[in-house]
Amino acid sequence: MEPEQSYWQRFWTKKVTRRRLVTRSLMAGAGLAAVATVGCGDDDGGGTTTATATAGATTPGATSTPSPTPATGLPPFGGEAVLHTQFQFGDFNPFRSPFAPSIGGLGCTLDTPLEFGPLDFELRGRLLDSWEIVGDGSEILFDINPDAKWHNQAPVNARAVDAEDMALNITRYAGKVDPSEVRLASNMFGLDTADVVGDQLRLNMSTPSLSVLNGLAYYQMTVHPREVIEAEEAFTDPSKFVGSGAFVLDKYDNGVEAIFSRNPEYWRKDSLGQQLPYLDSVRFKWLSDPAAEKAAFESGDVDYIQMLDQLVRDEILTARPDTQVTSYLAWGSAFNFRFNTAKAPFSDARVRKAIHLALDYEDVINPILGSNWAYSGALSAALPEAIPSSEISQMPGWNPATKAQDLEQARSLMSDAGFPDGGISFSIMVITTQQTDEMAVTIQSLLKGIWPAMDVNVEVVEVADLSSRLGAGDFDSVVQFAPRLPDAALDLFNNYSTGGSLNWGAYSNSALDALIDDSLTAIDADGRSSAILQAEETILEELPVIWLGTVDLAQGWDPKIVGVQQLLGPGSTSSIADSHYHSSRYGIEA
Amino acid sequence: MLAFLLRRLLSLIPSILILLLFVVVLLRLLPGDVVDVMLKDFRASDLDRQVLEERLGIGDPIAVEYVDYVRGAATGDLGRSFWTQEPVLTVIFDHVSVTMELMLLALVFGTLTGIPLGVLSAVKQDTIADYALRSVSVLALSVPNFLLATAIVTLPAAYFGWSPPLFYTRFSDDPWAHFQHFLIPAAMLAPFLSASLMRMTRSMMLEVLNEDYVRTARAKGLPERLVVYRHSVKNALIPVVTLLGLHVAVLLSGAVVVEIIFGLPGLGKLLIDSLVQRDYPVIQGIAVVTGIFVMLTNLIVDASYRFLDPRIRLG
Repeated sequence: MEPEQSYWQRFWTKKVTRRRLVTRSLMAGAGLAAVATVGCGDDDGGGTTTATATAGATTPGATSTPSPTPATGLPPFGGEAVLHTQFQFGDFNPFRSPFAPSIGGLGCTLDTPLEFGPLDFELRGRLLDSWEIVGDGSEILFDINPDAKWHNQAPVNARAVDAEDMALNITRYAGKVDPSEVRLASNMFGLDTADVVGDQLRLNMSTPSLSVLNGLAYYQMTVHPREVIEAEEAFTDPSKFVGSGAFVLDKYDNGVEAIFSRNPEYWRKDSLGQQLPYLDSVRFKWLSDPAAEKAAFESGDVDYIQMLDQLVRDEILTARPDTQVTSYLAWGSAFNFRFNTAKAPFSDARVRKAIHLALDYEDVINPILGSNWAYSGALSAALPEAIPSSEISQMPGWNPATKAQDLEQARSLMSDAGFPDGGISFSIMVITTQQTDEMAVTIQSLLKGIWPAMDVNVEVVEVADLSSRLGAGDFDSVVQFAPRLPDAALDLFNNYSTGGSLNWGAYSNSALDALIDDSLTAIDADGRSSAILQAEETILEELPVIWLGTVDLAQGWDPKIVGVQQLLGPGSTSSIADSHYHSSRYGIEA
Repeated sequence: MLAFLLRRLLSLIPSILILLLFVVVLLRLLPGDVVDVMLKDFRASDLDRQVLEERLGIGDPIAVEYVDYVRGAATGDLGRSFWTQEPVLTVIFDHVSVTMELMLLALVFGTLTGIPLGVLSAVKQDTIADYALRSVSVLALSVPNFLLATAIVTLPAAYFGWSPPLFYTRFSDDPWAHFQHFLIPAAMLAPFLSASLMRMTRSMMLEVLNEDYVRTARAKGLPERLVVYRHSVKNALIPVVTLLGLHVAVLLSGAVVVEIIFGLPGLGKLLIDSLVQRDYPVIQGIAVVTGIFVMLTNLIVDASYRFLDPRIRLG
């Protein structure tokens, strides 16, 4: 686990600044050359700390400065990207429904407090420029990015982003104001209060924890001006949102079209010192049907499509062979097979382990994802602190080469648990919109092939029913596309600790709880890594959840969009939000 | 006539009350509620649930919710969306014009093709044209409109890199682009209506064409065109108009699917989204508005009989 230790040692011992990252990126000459050949400078590091001086105020939405001029030999920047989304929201309160303002286009107008480097998954500044953990970790002090300012729109009119904004946002996300605003509260683990000290933001921690920093980098934790939060109009009328991000909101016709134009005074510059974003505008269109999404991409009406499904991917590449395909291991995208450990037969770890050993993971996943996935242990395979996928793939159950021995052990475990012929009866709950029904049917078929006496039913339910039954513990097992968090300790806490917010199967293990607690509260890198590793190993022994795989997310891009390959990596945000988040990062070849 | 309309309008009230009862009760029998959806992907505490329920004003017994809803509806208050807190009527009126436009175009397409082809088929009975039209009509009745719509969206894109307009444009932004977007979805909804009308028209025309007064008209030496159009078609239309009225409800249900495939932000998409989100006030509102619309359409159909056949007395 050396790389993880060094990551956290770096994290702990260095005060991270954007300036330092810029220096580092300028030294990476070879990398820059590679980026330059595709016409899109990497913004890794966030640019310089000098202000982007632009005379006078800009008209809201107008691009008062021309697009950045690329260095000699690069394709021209500018142009418009047409993207699409299926998500149409009603509630835009970021603290109650954080998904809504972070995607659906609005994400490109907003920033988060911190962020992960998309390629290296390293935590770095965004609206918060740098931080210092004081003493025993009971306080964390942050400098505010001096270049960050709100868009030149009422009611903020290009004023600087300040510590008061940050404190209010973080307090709300922590659920300290309204008990219904608790969706991201666990990201703020250990936080007591957030306040302002001079020009700095201070987090007062009731329980010192490093996880809060990763929580602040979560892509849904968008920051809003205090005037907008207090007025609350934007929570129902998204056209009232004002952000600090790469694009300025021009029009938001919910469910029809949203248009965003380049923010000429955006604080972020690329590593060549050129103003970001490269695009002049981004246009979002709403499509409700997957077949229509595919047709729109194939006919060139949109520039981006997510290609999770192998079959869809093949069809798109046949119809549009010029499609640029990118993929990256997405920390937030994973399929799991979760057991209700509060009920027989899955209260017995031997039964859970027998099922794990009996599964052929490739048979379950490949028909949906093709080869675009990675073996996962207890954590997302993309997380730097997770047991690497290459190691997991060699472990019993996951390793296809040892399947015969695994099956033998599976039968023996099932017999020890009192089911010599595997005669257990259970249902696998799925919803149809996630392709998990196909996975469940494969699991059913695999298990019945090994234990003909096993009675496995696949139960298809609707999303509200799934949510209700998961909450009530009214299920035997579930296969689902499950949300994950970008912090290992928080992910362990939510998924496996007693009462964890994603621990639907009511798994409870006091020894594991103690390890997870250690991983959350350790403020030394070694202690945290060691606790996480031990927790992972314990979970792999107990298997309250089987992670079927982490998605290597495939995306199709119109060939006119350049540079995306260089900007997608394990630290990228997951799912459709990528297209929004990265709209500040790619250019269009005119 | 006025008395007839008033009587019929009053008779709609019990129908609407029963409709509301069905919708209110059935919705609440669905597993999972809006709180479950709002708290999905999050194992909420009982307190979290309670706070949300209080905020949304839910949790009363079904009977109380029904009475409250009927009382509100009587004053034109259909409640507020759980998710946006907007008045339901505002939410519905934002979407209803799209559905009405789609239905109207489909009605026009279906009627303009179905009735003339039915007449033609009857007049040309047992000819190749008749057989061909009857075969095509069976095909149009058999192919579900969602299949037709999916095929028209996906196949040209896959083979020719072209797709019909998939992005909605508001009339105020670009009237022509707006109209273009409706053409193909309406054409996808129309075949079923057209085929039904064609078959009914043909059948009624064959009956009418054998009537004594038609034989008399021919015996008088009237040209066949006048016999058909002046003496036969009008008399054959009463059941056809009835069928047209009934088909408004069919078109409405077809529009739900077609709107989603073609990205039209109409009532269909609103209904599906609201069902998934368990937004009861909006679903109830849609049921009330569409229910009243279908009832009024049939009232208009009944009233139109008098114009089609003056012998019919309304009362």
